[in-house]
Amino acid sequence: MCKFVTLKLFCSNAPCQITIYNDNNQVIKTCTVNTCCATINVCTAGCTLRILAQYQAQTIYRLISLGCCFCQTICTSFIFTPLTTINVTLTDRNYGFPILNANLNFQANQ
Amino acid sequence: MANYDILITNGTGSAMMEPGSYAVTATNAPGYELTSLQPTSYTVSSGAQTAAFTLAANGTLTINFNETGAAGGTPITSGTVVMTDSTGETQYGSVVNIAENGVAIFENVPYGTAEAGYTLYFKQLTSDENHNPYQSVFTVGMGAQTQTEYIQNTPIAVEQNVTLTDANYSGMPIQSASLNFAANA
Repeated sequence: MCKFVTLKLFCSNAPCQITIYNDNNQVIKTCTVNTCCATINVCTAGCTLRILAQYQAQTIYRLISLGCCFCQTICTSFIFTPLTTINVTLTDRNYGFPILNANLNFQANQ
Repeated sequence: MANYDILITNGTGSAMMEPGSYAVTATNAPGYELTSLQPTSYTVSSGAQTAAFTLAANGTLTINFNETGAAGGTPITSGTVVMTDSTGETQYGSVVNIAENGVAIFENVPYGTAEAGYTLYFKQLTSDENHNPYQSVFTVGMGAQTQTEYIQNTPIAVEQNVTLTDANYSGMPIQSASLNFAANA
């Protein structure tokens, strides 16, 4: 059982929402990394932490296996790509009026 | 990179996206051919930007302009009509001429189902010299790929000068009377 693990979290973009889950998928800590780096002391019942970092619409999951030891310090970074706001217009090609309801899918090219 | 689904409401939508190149498809657009989307690729760069897409439909609406607003009425012989918004203030597409048989045809219009038609609005701009154009914006619910509608154009009133004289004393005008003219069915 791990106790009092210190996490040093780095996010490339702020504010970055961090949620830390234990082995039982219970939330044991949440925080906001506003200054690119945060230090969190967590007390967990398991030896594996699952960390979810969210920036805008992006989410990064990371599993950290702590082993069975005390007083560890773990450093981890979450690198997010800056997002761009896209405003989309969709009109009728023949008449030019706005189309009331539709869904467009953007599939990233590899 | 991630994939993004953008919901379009009344012609617009937005999303936060990673820069890069994307293939774009229409996954839902009632009344339209999904494969008609243009363009089908888009590149997101840094900084806010606007992406313009179009869809096309393949419905056909035939509007008959006549004196009864129903099948069989005497047609007008010329005029113009245009698609508009619900207020009639904004026109969409080109003005369509009404033919000699009173018919105007709108091609490539979106359509829905009999239960949920695609609502379109039209405004008649002109009629022939003998008829009044329909005064209001009229609504068409396109419930099938081809549809026919009838719009009434009433005849323009022509001033009539009437004389009424005594049958026994030729030339003597009757001082006061009322005559009723009932149209023959």
